[in-house]
Amino acid sequence: MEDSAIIDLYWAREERALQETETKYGGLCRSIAFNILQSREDSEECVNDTWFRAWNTMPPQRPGVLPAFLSRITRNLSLDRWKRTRADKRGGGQLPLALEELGDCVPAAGSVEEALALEELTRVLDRFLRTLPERECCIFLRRYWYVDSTRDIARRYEMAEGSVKSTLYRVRQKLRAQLEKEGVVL
Amino acid sequence: MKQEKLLEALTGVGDDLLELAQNKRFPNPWRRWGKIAACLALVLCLTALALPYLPMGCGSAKSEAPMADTSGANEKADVTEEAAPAETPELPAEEPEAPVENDGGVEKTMTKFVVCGTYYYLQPQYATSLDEPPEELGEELGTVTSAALPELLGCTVYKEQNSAVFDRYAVDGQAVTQNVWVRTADGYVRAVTANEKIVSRYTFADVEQAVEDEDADWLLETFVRPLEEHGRGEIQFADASQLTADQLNRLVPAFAAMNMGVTVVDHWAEDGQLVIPVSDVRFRLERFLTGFTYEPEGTEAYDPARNAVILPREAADLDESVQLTLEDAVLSDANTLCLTVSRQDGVRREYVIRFDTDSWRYLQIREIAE
Repeated sequence: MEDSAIIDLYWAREERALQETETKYGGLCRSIAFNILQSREDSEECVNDTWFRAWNTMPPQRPGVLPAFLSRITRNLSLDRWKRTRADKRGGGQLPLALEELGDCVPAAGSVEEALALEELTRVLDRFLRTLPERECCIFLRRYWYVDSTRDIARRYEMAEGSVKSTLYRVRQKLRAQLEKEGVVL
Repeated sequence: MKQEKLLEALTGVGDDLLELAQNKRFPNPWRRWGKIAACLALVLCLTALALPYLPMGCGSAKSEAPMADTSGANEKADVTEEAAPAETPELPAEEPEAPVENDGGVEKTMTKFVVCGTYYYLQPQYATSLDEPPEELGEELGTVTSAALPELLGCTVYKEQNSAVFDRYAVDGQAVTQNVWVRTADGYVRAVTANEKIVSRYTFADVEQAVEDEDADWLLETFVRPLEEHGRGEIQFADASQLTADQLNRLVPAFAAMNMGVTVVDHWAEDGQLVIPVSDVRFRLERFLTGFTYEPEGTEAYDPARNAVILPREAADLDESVQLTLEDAVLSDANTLCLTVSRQDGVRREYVIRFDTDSWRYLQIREIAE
């Protein structure tokens, strides 16, 4: 079913919207949640919460890109849940690794006046990603947005895992330079 | 935490970017070639090791003379001049020492056969077998006139249609590689042909191309990463004679991984160790290091009783944390490539690689002082 038809079902308050969403985007959202949470049970709950939130936000919202809209909800819910649970158990998984890697991008403190608001930081990141070659942009997003493992990224983009790592390293260095240039303090 | 803030801020980037990352694919022609190149390298190296064991076909009489058997003459008669390709494949001119007894896997890893004067190689670990004719089945090349495996004799061999991707690598109008399908009694099996002389020229031509294309990944993958990941960043030399025994031993699995992949490293695995016949060590080191002669005596890992170097299995493991950036790639003269590479720990190294008539070798790997 076309995305616009699924959105129409939400607007018509037809519960079939949820089934169609599950059929078409269940796998995508489940993989995002699982990459972050590393727990089938928790990720299943996050995905169900995603459908619930989508139900509550459409209408009034009419997302332009439905998978991005749903993925974003899943990601937010999963990150929130991860934060809540990490105090109790420090698990493995991709997120701690991705976070550790992102430490490379954090500029040295002291060069700028004030910390940036989250929205402004999002704008900086958005601008930065658009300056990258497509492949670098995609690899970066797969790693730090979708929280894919480097192995999965290598498989997805038909690259050697080492190339993925070196690309990520290069992009992190570029991002750090960009954040410093823009005077971003986190 | 600062990283978390970045991660959160990333959530809001544009839908179009997320869509791109979700849907975009980057088909990699190098990747495909890389697999074939690995096959070729395996074939070429193992061919040299296996020469004493293989029945010879009707190729270059000069290079094969020491091993040729009487069947060669009959096979030659089978090959018509019209059917024969323009260039006859040449096997490695330098013959390494005969494999030691432990090196019993050579025959298992490849089978040579001849169609119309061209050598093809069937490698069980890379072969694809199908019951039905493959979609890529192209024109008929002929029948197998000589083969190490009797079952292949008389089988019909077909070109693979989509091998055309390799036509761009053709030298003097002849494709470097040609995948073929062999119709056996049990179905269709895929094989590949190789011509070392052409392959080496191809290799150099493509490096030039890669430098032009700034294809950093390919250059790093081919020339740098295996040594950096296996060598733990400690392998460097102004000339090969300076290498210590320990470094040399580390180079062997590195070189094996470089050209052959894990399959061959596993081939040496035995009870949690790598038992590498000296002939293999010598072959690989002399293949990649200029003017180098390997003497195993005095190396701690050398076991004279088995005439092998015995390393822990972990010696073949990669240090996956290595992050490399190619800073520069320059063909400093017609045959010498200089790569400047930096690691995430700040170490910068220059790799000097020399291309000669039959291959490429490392001239120097040196750290660049800040």
